[in-house]
Amino acid sequence: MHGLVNRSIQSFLTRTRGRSVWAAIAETAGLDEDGFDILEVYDDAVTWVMLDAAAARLGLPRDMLIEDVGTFIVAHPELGALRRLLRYGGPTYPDFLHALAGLPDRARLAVATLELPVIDVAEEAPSRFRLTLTGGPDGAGPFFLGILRAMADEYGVLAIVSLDQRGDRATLTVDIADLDFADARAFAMGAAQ
Amino acid sequence: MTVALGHAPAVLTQDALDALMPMHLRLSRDGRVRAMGPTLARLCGGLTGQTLSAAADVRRPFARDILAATAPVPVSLVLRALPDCALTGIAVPLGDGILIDLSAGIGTLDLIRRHGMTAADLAPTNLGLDLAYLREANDAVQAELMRVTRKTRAARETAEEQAVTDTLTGLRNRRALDAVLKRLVRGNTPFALAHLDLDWFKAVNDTHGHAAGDHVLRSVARILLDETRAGDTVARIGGDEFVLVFPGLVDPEPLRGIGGRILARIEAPIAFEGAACRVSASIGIAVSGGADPDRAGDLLAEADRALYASKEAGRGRISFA
Repeated sequence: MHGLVNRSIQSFLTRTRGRSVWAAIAETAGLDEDGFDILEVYDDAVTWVMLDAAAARLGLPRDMLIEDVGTFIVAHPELGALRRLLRYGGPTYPDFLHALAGLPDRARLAVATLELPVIDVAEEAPSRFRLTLTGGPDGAGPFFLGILRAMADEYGVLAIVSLDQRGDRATLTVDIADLDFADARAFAMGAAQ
Repeated sequence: MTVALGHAPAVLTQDALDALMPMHLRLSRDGRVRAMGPTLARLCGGLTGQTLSAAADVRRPFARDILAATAPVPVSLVLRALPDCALTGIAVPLGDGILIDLSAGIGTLDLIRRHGMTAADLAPTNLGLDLAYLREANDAVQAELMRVTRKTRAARETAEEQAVTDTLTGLRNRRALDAVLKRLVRGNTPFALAHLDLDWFKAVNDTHGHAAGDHVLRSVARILLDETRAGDTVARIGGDEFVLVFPGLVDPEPLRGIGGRILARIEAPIAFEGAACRVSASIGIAVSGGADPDRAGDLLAEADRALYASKEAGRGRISFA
């Protein structure tokens, strides 16, 4: 798995559960406490050993943990970069959902070694989207579930997102209940930092 | 107005032009601005009624060639109301006038940052949004790269600090000596430890300068390596203090022999840039008992006491603990 993904999980554990919890999980998983470099690519097994150690320590199902990581990297106030990059998807939540089809190519522009699933986006009915993820790493389904839920909050949208995982194909269904449920978070292009 | 699209003429309204090309200018054949796209209007205010030459510094081609165009011509110009932004585009004859569609190219990033341009100002087909995205993504990656580089540098500095070599003489340093002693004690290996301190070294520094002093230290290091065996450890642990460790050698006679040869060579004048530097050395030797491993750790202190006995006895000699 890419160091960026591993580092996100490490960052999630450290910032939401504390340094000592991360240290304990790292020890169980046989990892250096310094953790991961974002520019490295690691063996997938490393990620799963870490996630299993974390799930056991926190008493959570692994998928729920992965979903929380997805939410965390978008919504955590100290991590603005990904949230902002996703906002380039467009001015509204439906725009953002449509733009996800181009996300793997966009991501590769920034980090050539990052592997993302192929994302197929279909607007099935007004206010109902179906995203199909294929060919990505295991765990991509719950990861994107967390991201889609967090981005709905980001856009001030009330949406119900559900995941149906069959083999390596993850289907995410997004039902938008209210486009103007709350104020969207502020965003201006080119205004980072 | 009417545009020939294939065989069927199509009508483009001003609204359609505004949506398709938010940075366009429409000119009459006599060179006056008739209309402009909403983004251009927002960035430089109203230009309507001005002549092209008054509104813009046209770099390519001549303004009159734009106005006389009968086929599409590439255009580059700078609007006087937007002086730091080079615009390029294309001029086509349209109806009874000229239409110029313009783009800031890479300068779009500047328009976004300094002129408050937003996604709504860009035609959906304009890659400016992707440029802005890419720059932000690159900035984020670069910030992270710098963090990794800083971390690597810090790790390297730590490693250098923890290195086992004395950089001046190339001998082992204090850290290496401690590791060797620990290993010998743990392995119950009998060994001798000699503590050597130069005499009159300060006088060399004072008389001939620090470069001479450094030269003397390096020469002494050479002598110590020459006179010891391959498996022995020679360390510099302070300014002019050296420690020699002889694993498996606890017999005083050969130790005294080695010490004597070392003293004789150190006492010979050391030439440095025409000056002859004269130093001597005092040596204190302690031998591990072998029976009590805890005691071996104190060997350095014992050798140190023997060294002071040598100094008290008039320097340039060897004492055993």
